Amino acid sequence: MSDLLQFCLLCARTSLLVFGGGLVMVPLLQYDVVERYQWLTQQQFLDALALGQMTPGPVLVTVTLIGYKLSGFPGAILASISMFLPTFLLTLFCSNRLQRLQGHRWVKRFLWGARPAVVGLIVAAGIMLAQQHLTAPGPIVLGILCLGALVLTEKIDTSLVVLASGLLGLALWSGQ
Amino acid sequence: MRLRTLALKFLKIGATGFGGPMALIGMMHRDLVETGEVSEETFSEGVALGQMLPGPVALGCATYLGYKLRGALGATVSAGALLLPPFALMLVLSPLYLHYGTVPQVGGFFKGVGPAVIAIIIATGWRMGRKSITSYRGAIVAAAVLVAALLKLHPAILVIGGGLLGMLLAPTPRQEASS
Repeated sequence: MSDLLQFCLLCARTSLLVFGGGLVMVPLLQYDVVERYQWLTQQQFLDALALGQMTPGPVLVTVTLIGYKLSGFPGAILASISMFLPTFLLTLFCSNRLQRLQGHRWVKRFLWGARPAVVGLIVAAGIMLAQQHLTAPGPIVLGILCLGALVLTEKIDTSLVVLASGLLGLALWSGQ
Repeated sequence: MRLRTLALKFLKIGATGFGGPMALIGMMHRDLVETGEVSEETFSEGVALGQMLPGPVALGCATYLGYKLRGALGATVSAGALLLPPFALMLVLSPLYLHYGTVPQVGGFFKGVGPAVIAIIIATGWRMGRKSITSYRGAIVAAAVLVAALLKLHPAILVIGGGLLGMLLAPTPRQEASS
């Protein structure tokens, strides 16, 4: 199977599994994109996420870059459609049935287990990324500063945090 | 609301919606509820639907509001308009990044963004955990998945497995009332 087709299928599956917000895609994609098929290096995956954070709108547009890396502009377009179409169609289908779904016993029970599961996944992804990337003192300090800013101030703009640390990196670590 | 107005409103939100899902939700509230075009109640239904279903919360909410205003066509317009600006921007950035991302002069930038992204992932886990882990049984599911993920079990299986575990283990309303 071609890499692009494989990636589009992965996007479509991820689209239906990111419960609780777009960032849940990090563990769901990283496993296959970086470790299994090695379409991107760990560093490129993080960079792609950073670009996804800095651009407005949902962070899921990160897959546009991965699709582009695999097969240029057609890849970027197909990957994005695969990522957004399933969740869009599901939402559209459910728009008429909100009350029934909210009260539905098995939906509730499924989410009761899926929500904490997603939390475990995200934290695990954070731990693994931190282990691999935060190895020098500079990045460790920067990571802790960002985390402090994010946890202490509820409403801080995440795009701004990414941009600010990028600029700090540019000033401190360029040309190395 | 005319489809063109709907498209313009969501294009604007898509183009200026920096800073994560809550920022996007806030903008939708400002541009649709505070102008009197969507009721508070419909808006909270949209947020609830976005949080319940998989996918970005803001996209789910936009789809629902579009649907309420102009049916399936409205939903397509609002969701498409929300996604178009970030998608177009990403189309421009992708080739630039792949061609120039490793140039030493900009390498420092990407060394800087890495720690920020990792911090955002951890902070998101923390925030979601505080909201969605409300019982010790939930905490056990989260901890079990955390360990399984570190042991490299496939994440898709873990999400579905967590949901199935919930179907088996979630307290029934009667248990909840007695505890």
